[in-house]
Amino acid sequence: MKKRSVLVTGAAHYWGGRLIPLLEEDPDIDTLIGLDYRKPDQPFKRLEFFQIEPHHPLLAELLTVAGVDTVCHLLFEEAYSHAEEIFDLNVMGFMDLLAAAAAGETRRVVLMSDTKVYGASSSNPNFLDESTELAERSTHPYVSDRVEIEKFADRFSRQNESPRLAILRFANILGPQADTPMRRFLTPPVVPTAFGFDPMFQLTHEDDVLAALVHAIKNEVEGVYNVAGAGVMPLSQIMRIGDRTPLPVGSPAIRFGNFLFQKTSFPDSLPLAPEYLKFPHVGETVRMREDLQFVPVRSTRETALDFYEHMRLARYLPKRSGMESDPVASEHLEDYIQTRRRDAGLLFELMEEIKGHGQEE
Amino acid sequence: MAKRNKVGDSPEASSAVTCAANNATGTRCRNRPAAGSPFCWLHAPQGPRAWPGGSAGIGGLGGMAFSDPEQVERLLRQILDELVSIRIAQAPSEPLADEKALRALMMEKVLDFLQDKMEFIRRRVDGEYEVDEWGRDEEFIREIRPLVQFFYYKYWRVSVSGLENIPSEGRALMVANHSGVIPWDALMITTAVAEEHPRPRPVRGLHLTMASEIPVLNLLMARMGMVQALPENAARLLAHDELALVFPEGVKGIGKLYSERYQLARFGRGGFVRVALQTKSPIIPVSVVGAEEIHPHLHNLETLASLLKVPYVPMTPTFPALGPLGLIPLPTKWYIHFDRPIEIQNMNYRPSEEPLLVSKLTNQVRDVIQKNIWERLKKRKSVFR
Repeated sequence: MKKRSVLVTGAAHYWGGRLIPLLEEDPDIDTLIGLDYRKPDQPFKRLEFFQIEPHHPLLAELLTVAGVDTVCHLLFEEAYSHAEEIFDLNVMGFMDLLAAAAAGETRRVVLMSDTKVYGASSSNPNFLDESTELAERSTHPYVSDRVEIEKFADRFSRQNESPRLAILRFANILGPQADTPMRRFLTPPVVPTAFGFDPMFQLTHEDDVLAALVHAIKNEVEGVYNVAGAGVMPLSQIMRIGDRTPLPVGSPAIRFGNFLFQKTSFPDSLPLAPEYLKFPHVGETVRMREDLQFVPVRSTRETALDFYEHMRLARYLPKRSGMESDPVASEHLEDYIQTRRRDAGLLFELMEEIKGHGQEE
Repeated sequence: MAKRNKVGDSPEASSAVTCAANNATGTRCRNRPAAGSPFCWLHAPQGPRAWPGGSAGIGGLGGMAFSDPEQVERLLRQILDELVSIRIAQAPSEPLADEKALRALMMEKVLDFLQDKMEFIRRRVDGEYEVDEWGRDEEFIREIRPLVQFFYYKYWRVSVSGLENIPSEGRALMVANHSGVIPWDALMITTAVAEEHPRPRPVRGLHLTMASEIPVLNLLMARMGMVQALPENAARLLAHDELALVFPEGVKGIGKLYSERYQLARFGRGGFVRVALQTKSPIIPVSVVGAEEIHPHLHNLETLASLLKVPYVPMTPTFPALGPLGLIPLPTKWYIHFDRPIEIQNMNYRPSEEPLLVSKLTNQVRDVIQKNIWERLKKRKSVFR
């Protein structure tokens, strides 16, 4: 079997940082390359890291030389304001990456997306399958960037034979560690909701997100899939599990607040566009189970429980930011100890020998 | 409580004949005796009281949210039994002990009842409840069941026929005429299947998209098991072997004028037939008579409607003249008939024939419903009987 060569973008960001150690463990993957526009905080075992943006002119050259067969595109900056440079990174970056991949021998690009691309509207069916049209125009930059990327990906895959695209649309990701819009929305003790509305929500656990990405990279899948934990829950129930108090606001008020706060740095705490608090955007997961052959470990309810259990515990845990040990360091340490021990052992034997000689005489 | 007086056999002092029993206080009971008995419904020693159709049912407590009529029945009978035993044990000349015991008993029951409700609320607050993937809340439906039963048995006195045409399991698409300005017909059809079908099963009523944009109402409908009327939703429900209920007339049906009552409007664009063909589900035509008169829609205030961006603003004899009181529907007599299923599972057709088939089936279903409505209207002597 031919050894695999995988390139991961966004290696210095959260998802890259979690995914790469999993890929490093995989003996089938021979070459592992990481890209990001900043340096990773954590050291990796055998990742070849380059601090470049996807716009870099030598990217196509790199893909060819390293014989990359699969690109996993995770680089995406979540923005709540319309910033030109973030658009440039998210959307134009993806376009350049696809262009480079098409020029090289890359067979597949795995793209991480979000079920929010369907948009939330009153005309949505309760369950949206993968062929549903994407949200036409969203005022929320997070959604509009995602939609823009997906639309480009769709156009690209219709025009080009290679690389094939595997798009995983994850439902609202939640978990003890990942910093996601849903987490930011559900964290404060009082959560704004839309008065008289209680849409169904789907959650995906962060561990299932990683498992799905690894699954997609290893198993040559292509196509578009919704990925979400089993089951749906009303938004209010998710909050109640976490003992959060819903603050019902009339929806025009939310929209107005959103409009006001978009001009300041406040919008980071308004992670969901107001329509998502009124209408459902639940993805149908039949294709995930049957075609992708992936079943998440945690259901929606279990994800919510796990998240809030962690949130309760987090208050009592010591803060250890930046105090993680390097996985390579411990191996290095073991080697060092082994060597010293061997050396010491040799010395000891030598001493014994000398001693023995002395007694003989 | 107005409902109590309207429905139950509650105290009416004006009646000459009164109950033979004594009250807890020792005075003569002033309740009217039940038919064929010297005692009123409260003091009748045993005697089967038919719930819920009977004349002396517990329906008089309709406004109270008891979770289960059988439970209430049992509870009341228990109270009565204990009352009788106390009465036998003690001479009627000692009313004080009697009253004390009764009071303690009632107190206990009331506390139990409150505890039950508090538990319901607590579980909502803690998020410890289940709704299915469409948002249907079984427990909520149980809670409001007495109220729905009141409307079903007492207010509109719904008379059902053809229930045997609804399969006990498996998919089926029920198609009904829509009417009433405020469409209560979906709830009553759902209740008919839940109350009177030998194997009650949930009916998924498909409601207008417009309704899911209205705060609170959209939630109530979802919790009662209704789903937004979209072809995707209908197809998914039927694919999961559910019983779906559609009103192809849509807003044209509920908004029609009193002068046009019982004249079926256009049946949409035949979308329901396409879904049935696609999912291979039988179509059950349902005709509802009585619902078209609950709000006599005399005139549509079109200018106001276009200003408010709603499909119609009705003018009825009571609305808007009496304000919110005008929203109370008339207590007409309802008839619901479920017709024989139109089996379309094993239909063979070329894809090119589908449009023709859809239009034929649409007209067939419409004709069956229209015919059944006329059949019923022929026999009906009055709107209220």
